[in-house]
Amino acid sequence: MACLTIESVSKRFGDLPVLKDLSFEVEEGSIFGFIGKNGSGKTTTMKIIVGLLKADRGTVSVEGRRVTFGETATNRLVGFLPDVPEFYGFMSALEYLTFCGKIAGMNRPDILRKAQELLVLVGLTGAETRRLKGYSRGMKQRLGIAQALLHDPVLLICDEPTSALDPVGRAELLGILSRVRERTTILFSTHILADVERICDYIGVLDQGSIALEGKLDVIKSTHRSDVIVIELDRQMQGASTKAASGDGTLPQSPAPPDAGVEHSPAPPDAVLPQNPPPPDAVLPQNPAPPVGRPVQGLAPPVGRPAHDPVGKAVDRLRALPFVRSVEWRDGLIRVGVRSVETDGRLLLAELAGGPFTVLRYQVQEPTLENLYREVIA
Amino acid sequence: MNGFLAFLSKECLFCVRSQRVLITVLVFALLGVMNAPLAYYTPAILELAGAGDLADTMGIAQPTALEAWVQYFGNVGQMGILAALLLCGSLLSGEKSKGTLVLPLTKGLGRSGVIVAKFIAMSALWSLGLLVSAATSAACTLGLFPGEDVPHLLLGLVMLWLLGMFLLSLILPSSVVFRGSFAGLIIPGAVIVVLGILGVFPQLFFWSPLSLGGDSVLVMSGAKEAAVLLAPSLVAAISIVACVVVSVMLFRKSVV
Repeated sequence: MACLTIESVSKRFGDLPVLKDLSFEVEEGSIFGFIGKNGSGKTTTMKIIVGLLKADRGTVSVEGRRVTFGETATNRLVGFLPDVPEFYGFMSALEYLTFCGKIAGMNRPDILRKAQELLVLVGLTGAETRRLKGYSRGMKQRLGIAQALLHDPVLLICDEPTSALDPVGRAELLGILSRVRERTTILFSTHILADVERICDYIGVLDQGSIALEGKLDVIKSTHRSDVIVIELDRQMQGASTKAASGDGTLPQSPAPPDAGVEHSPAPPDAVLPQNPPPPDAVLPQNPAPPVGRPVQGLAPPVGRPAHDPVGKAVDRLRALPFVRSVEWRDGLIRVGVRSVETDGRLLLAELAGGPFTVLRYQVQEPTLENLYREVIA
Repeated sequence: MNGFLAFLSKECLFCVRSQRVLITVLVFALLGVMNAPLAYYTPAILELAGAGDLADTMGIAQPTALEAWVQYFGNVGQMGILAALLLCGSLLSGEKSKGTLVLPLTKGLGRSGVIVAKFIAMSALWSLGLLVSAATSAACTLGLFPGEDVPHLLLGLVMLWLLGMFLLSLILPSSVVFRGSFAGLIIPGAVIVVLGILGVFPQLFFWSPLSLGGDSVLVMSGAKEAAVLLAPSLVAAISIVACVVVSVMLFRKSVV
């Protein structure tokens, strides 16, 4: 069931259209990562949800109840944490939470019980009687979470809560959000994709005022998965290629010695096949790939390529393979796009096995949210 | 209602902790305490300065309690109201510019409650100031001019209070319409200038709330009938109510 429903919402500021027919839903019990670059309309959307801004068109509903601009009864169901929460500096945290609780219609014993519980949750015990004007940015964000959760909202809306925090503060705040997911649905806007990957189960990518991509994060990642194999060759080989490309014509005297690749390997073994190593039967099937760090022989020079450019030769050779969709050689790494890692990976390794290279790394690249985001926004 | 009471008690706490109450008491006590001694000793001061004839010419050779209260109405009607405007000018606009209203409003605080609470806080500060100044002035006047009665003094004080309330209530729509920490002083300042210009036209100034201060003194001294205060006090009272109502209506539709 949808906790929050946004239907065809549009908003302009003067001549500037900020939201254009925006529609999405946030499922109950989920953490929805609302992603978009600065100025994409995230804050505007959130302010419309809490009735601080009026939509030019469209409707917003929380738990089936329609949000109205100005004074909206749905705010009793919502906890809101703005990007920069502003508090009364002359109050203490406990006084502020009491003030908020009274406004939310809670009785005094409930306010005190809940305030103490939340102060522990957000790590502000010991500072609850200090005046808020002396609070740091991180402490204010924590208090912001506490006030937002005080009245047990069904929906917690956090507008870029981590954007101005240091790494420690960010991690702590994300930890708090992860802990409160059991009690409330969370809509969490950010442009820090690592935060979304860490705690969100649903995402919506806002681009130019409308949703460009929406759904369950793991489903989106698997749907948009593009199979890419990253290959790192021996540095000596790359050096030879660079020299060759620069025109000095130096040829590598011989392939790298068998152990050289292991000794010069820039990454530890667990980083060589890191995130999602292809299953052994998929990677090393009929033609087992050479162990990482050992030279492989073969791969005849392609037509039209200088014979002294071994990596260039390899790239051209890979490009010529029928199952290869793309080959990119950059920063010492060859990225090969294939139709399917499972089937084409074997063939690729078989081809590499015949080349005069030391393969330092063979890695199946997992699709990241950053790649997805770039792809969608582009 | 709970939300309104919580916000109102927050306003009171703010006025106390921001030293507004203390400043109000000190400033208005000073304004109240200086009038009677000034009226009492002015002839002697002029005499010492060799301008004793001037005191005779001005008719203050024999100072009275009325002269002390005339001084009081002059001081509090100008300096006092100015101090109150400065103390209250940022109560709403300051919150708007800092963004401190966002969280209470998204917690369910009614917007009308914000305006009414601010109005009550401003009224309380001004009333406190007027009370302190009147009490200190009365004490000093009684000490220096014992047994002297000033006719219509209470009426004059009520009119002075109404004048202050009229100008302070203008802070509300000003704070709602304009942006900035002291946006609340734009409309009161403009109204003072416009009504001051209208003072050139006696028929129009007759209705002006600004005439309440000066006319109260004239009523107390017997130069004018008390009925002259009716029209400007009605205009002031209606304006106060209108300011609160219009501010609520505008604030309900404004972006915080």
